[in-house]
Amino acid sequence: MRRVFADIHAALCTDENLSMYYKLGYTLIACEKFSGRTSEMTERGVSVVGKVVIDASSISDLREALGKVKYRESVIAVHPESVEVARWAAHDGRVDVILLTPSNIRIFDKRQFSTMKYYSKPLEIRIPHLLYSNSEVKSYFYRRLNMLVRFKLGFALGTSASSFYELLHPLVAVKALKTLYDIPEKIALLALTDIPRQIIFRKLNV
Amino acid sequence: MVDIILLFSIILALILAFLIIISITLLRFRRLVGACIALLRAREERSEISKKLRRRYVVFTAICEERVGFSDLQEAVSSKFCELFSKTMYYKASPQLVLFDESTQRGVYRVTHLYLDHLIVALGLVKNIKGKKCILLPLRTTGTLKKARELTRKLRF
Repeated sequence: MRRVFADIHAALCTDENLSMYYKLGYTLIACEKFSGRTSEMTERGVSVVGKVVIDASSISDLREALGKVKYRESVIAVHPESVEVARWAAHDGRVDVILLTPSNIRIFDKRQFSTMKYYSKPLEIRIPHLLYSNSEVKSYFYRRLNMLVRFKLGFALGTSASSFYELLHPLVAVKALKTLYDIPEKIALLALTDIPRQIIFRKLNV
Repeated sequence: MVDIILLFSIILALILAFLIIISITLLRFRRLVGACIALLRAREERSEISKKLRRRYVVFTAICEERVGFSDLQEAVSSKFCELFSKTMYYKASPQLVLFDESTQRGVYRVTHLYLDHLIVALGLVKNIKGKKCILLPLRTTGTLKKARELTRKLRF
């Protein structure tokens, strides 16, 4: 397995998790919580950066939250709860990714995707949402994902694993997107390699 | 003068008749060619179907809290496959656990090559077996059981 994979969202990074990540072929990880020093983790062959998720329902909340975070060092994901916030986040340079979850899936429409494409802002999707949601949510995801592909908009996949047993083999993730959501294999592979790598590398080189 | 006109009209009639005969034969010939093409396509399709019946062997490893057995593993994977892709697809894919070494927790799954991706997804999404937390990791895919057996011993993870 070539070590080319990157995870845009890991809920918790422990030694055990990171060694497993390395075995599975991941080298770059954006972690929400650490248990250890970042320098130690880099020595293990896996580079780790911080991850901040901002939940915002209004533009003022978002601006306030963005003013407080260190956006140059950690990956910033915005979880918009309204259309205005989603539009604002799409053109804000401090925001790295916009999070798509079952709770805010309805605000992502054609106009949002075209705005995101214009400002080349990728989307973040978490694998558990795709795999373990109910059938109604899965159908929403199916339509949104295929719309994304038609718009040629990039997206990054996050495992959001907090324990060793929640990790997913990258090959399984790619095949799952292919078989369950009809996403072309190349695009699914990009969502686990190139797009998250670019985002995480920007934070590592600061 | 009358003879010339008569001769001319006869020649014209002959030419017309000749053209009609040629067009009819061409039409028949076209149908014949069409039939030949259809036959060839049908043969190709039949040969493709016969080609499609190939087997693939997926070498995998199980990482679990405690060691798991052959039947428990098979049950977990088949129920996950049915949950994700329905029973109809399960019958078509006919995944079978060919071998599973309980000491090394490595095994080989056999599946029709058309449903290889489906099996890999089902394997990867098994998270617990009989209440024990577990992950199954597909390592390699081969075309022969002999090579798959070798890989279960040789592959490092």
